[in-house]
Amino acid sequence: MKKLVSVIATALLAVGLPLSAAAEESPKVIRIAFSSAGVGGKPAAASGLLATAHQRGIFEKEFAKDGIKVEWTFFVGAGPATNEALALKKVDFATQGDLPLVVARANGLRTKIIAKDSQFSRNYVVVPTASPIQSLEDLKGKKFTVQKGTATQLTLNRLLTQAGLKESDLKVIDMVSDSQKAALSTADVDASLQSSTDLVSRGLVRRIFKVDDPKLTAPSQIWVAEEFETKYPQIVQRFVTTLIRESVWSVDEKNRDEQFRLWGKTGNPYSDYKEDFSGSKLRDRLNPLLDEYYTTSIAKSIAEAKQFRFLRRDVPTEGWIEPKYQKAALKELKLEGFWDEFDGEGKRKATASAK
Amino acid sequence: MKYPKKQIVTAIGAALLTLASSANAAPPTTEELLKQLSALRATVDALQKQVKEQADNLEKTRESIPQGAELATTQDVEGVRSQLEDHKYNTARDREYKTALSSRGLTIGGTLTGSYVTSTAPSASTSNNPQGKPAESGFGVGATLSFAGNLYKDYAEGKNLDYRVAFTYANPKLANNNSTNSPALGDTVTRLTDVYLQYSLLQNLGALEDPKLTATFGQQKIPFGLEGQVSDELKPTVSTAQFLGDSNLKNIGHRQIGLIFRGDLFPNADYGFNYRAPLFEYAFGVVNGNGENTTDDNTRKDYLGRVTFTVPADYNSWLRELKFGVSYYGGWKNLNSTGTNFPVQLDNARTIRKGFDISYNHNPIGITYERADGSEDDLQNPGSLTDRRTRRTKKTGQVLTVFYNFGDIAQWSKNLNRVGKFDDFWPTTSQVYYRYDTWDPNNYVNADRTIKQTIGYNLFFAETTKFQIGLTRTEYDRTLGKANSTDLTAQFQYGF
Repeated sequence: MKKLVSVIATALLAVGLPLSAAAEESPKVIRIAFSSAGVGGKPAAASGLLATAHQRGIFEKEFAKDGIKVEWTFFVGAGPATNEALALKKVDFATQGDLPLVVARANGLRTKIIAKDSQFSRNYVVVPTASPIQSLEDLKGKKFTVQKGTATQLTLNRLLTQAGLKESDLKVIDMVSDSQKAALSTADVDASLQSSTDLVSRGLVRRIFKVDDPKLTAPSQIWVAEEFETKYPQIVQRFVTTLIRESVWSVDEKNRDEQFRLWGKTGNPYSDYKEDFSGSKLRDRLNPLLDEYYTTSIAKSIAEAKQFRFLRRDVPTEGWIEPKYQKAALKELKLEGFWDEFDGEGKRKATASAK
Repeated sequence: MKYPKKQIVTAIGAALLTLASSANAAPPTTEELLKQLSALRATVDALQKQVKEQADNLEKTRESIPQGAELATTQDVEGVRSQLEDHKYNTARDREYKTALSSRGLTIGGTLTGSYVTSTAPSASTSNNPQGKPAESGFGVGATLSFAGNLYKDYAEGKNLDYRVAFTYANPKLANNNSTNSPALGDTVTRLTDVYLQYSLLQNLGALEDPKLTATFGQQKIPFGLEGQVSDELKPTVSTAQFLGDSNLKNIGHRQIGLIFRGDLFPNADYGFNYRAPLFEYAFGVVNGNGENTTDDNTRKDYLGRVTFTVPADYNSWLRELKFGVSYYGGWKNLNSTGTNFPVQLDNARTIRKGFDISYNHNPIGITYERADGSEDDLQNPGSLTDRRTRRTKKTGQVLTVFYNFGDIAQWSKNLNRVGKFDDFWPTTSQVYYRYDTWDPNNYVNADRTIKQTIGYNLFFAETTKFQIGLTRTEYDRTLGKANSTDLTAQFQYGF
């Protein structure tokens, strides 16, 4: 009897092991999340490499040959919602701003940062048109709306520090993006950080401060869940290689208008992106490199998140940033030196010959 | 300087006329001709400059137009304007004739339920079932309807005044919680369930770290334990625990009319996950004590209170949503001896309920345990016309529920089910559960317990739609003299 059991067990192992190993080679579905949604909850994103990749369906094309489905999710609850999805193992890749990213890391969620999604973003402090507020200093004691837990909250704190203020000097009200616009339109709040031009063009708000200093903003990034990366490294490599290949299209100035129109599917006007990117090279804004600017910036974000008391724990950074997939992709696609690297201050380090 | 077209034509014409008229008169001197030529050249230069400026402007305009974009003509703009006017007219007309209006902000909601129940328990003989056997089975329907909204919106501090009115429809047996009413064929019951006003006493602007406190006046669920007040997030079963039954600890199983304060203290705000968990939650209030849709039946009021403690933990901690709660309900009731003249009348008989509960709601797993103890005064000799002595009965119910969610597991997450989408997509959540529910109607009597064990499956496949199926085995202790039975309940519930 024992022998029979042993024979059956061996046979099952022999049959089962290769099967399970084969199953590990590729997932049935790749789940990609955006920490944003379009106007009124439209399933679209903008202003980053991953957004263009989504609109052009490049991952679907890449993975269709293996029967791997690609699922996209657009979280209205922004970065904090993506964190919950990660905690419940419901997402494999995502793009996220700095604050929710570092908070997640401090709370034990395991990710590997594989590329930048965008950098050098622009924002404006806006106030209702009839508001007496003229400067950042005038914001003291006023109702300022921001979606708490997002990168914008960290940007706000940097901005306030520059103006000699603290978040506690303001009455900060937590609202999602659509609610912020509604509250600004009716002047139920006194100010907000907005990048869109729609309220400005309707005459409902006016801009009092432009936020475009690389020291005030931080890059957004693309990560992969560590569990997925350990299980399917070859899929991660294909994902990054496909993204980098697509990025060449994204940063080609010939495609500027077409890309802005693709982003316009979020419901934000084309003119938003035209203005946002005016005077910027696409190749600088849509730069996937995990360069010195990125590493300095993430270290700064961690320090600031602690300083502003968004974090109570240390953030273990060892092995977090994983450039190997990006390096392999750049080498394979012969794109080494295609994008400029930036130093810790956000200044261009060197100009590549292939420009 | 810019020259309008008309002015330029006039200037050239005047110059030519001057030349022509001077041809008839004395011939101009060379000097005069040179002057005129010089004036003409200046005019032509200005014209060329203006044409160049206009060409440059046109080029700039072209550059600002996206590649491939088409320019709109005046007719196009007129067309859009006309469509806009049509749209404005239709919107105004539809609002006047085809839109339900209310004097205040209003959200209408409700559920429709279709169910099938079958049981091996022998049923009593009725005209529909003259044999009394075999097991009872049948289809059922139910519906709820609610109106809720805001009566005063405080934009500055969020101290809003809200209202809610809700109704339920069911067949009479279900509507009366299995009471022994004998309704006529075709009878239906529609009852008021919630009728209350709620005011936020503390600032409530959505900040996770702010404590909350509300006062609710009217007919409402009472804050006792878990079973009587939680949603399907913590209660996967179709039925509720036995101790809430009408003949058991009914005060806590019914809505009550009164004033109840609910609040929390020291909330743990984890903005990294948009997660809020107050360290303490509390509730206290005063109610009539004799249930819903009825006037007070005695001269005293009942008092209730509840405190919970949630283990402080971040969202990603395994301790997330581990909560302990204690509840108390102290009531009074009138006691009358049987007989025609009711000579024995007491108005100080006590009805005490005490509860303890633990819940661990850590998606995808969840465990709840609740114990409710009741003590009840009754006349020792209810048939006597003179004996005013009372005796106190103690009763205990306990219920343990374990559930596991799988699939998208987003049903109760305000983060995961708020996603950008074009259609009516909703993440699907499946849930399996097991429940162990005991009821001891008298702690001083041995072997009189009823034990119900249920296994079930729930499927949440749309925002407000679920399918539930549960198999319950009921076992009675020997002194109760009842045959054990098995029930199967299946129901669809559609919300709107």
